[in-house]
Amino acid sequence: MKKPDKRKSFWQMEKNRVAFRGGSYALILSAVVLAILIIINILVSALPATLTKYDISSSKLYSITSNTKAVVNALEDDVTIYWIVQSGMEDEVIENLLEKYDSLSDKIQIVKKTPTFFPPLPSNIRMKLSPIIV
Amino acid sequence: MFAVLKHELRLYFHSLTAYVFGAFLLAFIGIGAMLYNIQAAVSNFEFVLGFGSLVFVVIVPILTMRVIAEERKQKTDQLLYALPLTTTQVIIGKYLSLLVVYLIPLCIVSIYPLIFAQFGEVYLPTAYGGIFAFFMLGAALLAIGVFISSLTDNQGLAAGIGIAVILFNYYSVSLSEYFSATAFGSFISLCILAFIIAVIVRYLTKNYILAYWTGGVLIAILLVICMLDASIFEGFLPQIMTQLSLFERFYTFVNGVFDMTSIVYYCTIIVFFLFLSVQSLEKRRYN
Repeated sequence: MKKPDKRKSFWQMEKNRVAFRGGSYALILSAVVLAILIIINILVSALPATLTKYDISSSKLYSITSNTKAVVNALEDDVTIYWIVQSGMEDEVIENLLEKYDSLSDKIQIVKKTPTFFPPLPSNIRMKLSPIIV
Repeated sequence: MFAVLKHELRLYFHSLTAYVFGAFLLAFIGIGAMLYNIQAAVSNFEFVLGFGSLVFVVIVPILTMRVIAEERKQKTDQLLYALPLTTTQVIIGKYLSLLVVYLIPLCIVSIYPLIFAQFGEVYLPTAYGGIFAFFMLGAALLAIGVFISSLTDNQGLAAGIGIAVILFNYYSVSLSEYFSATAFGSFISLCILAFIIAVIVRYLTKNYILAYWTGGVLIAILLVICMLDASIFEGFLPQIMTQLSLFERFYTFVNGVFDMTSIVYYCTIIVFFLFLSVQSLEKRRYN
């Protein structure tokens, strides 16, 4: 009675060992592939918006006109644009335009602020509500 | 690879599957075109595609449910292992045949904007950008469907899980905004994710200790981050969901932005899920 039991448990152990080896190999391989793919995605999204996002809308909604480009390129002082928006509620058109501005000039910096979570802006900044109407 | 492709294509076109898939896709897009372009007299064809993307919830599982599940059920997957082909080639062959079945109705759809252009001003770059994104979206969903089919030997189950997954993907952004924009909600859902990873480790390696350690370490890392700075989790889940959602990325094309990062994302989804299906087939060798 004892012998077949022993053999059975031996085979069970052997099977588990094989499963462990194969399974951990597959897991590590999947993790590596996932990491590589995530890195590729991060790299691509880090590219400037002018390279990755093309405007295909009929009214050129997401494009910056040549007049604006001339003004932005002639900037001498650094400009910080504060975008006050609750995270998750970003307007796509504004986000797109700001990204374009950001990649257009080194002097422009975009800072996103959540109104509920972050402390108020420095007091020397005069708030002027001017929604972009498109 | 081409032998598998040919065999699969013959199978699709000798059975009803390919025709049902194509008919559903064309019918849905046809209804959309009638509603938007003809009745509401809007000249933007991309809105039709935005409306039509919902049809994937039904038709992708119909097409992909039998890909590997059926082979398992009829035990013909043993033949696949015996073929002088690698598992990767088998999976790629099967996936390409799915793409061909998907491309045929899409070719018909891509004539629509040209027809509408005869009767009014249709802005073609957006329309064709939209159709291209529609193709990429469908291709990514097909890859997910292949993976789901490789998990089980029951076609019905594969279709059910497929519908659930795609429906969840469709609503994920609005769902996540609804219940957990707070830091605590994101923390809890990440903990659940860590637990799921631990369960997968257990399932694949049949080793409890490793699974406990993986789950424990992941949750510990989350706790430490939460102690240090809980604000990181603020709005984390909706953000991640928006990043991961396949449909949300498709809508940027509908809105008129040809986004290369989304194209890259769709490609990585395809590669990742096909890779996982290969792993899932290979699993039978050791498990």
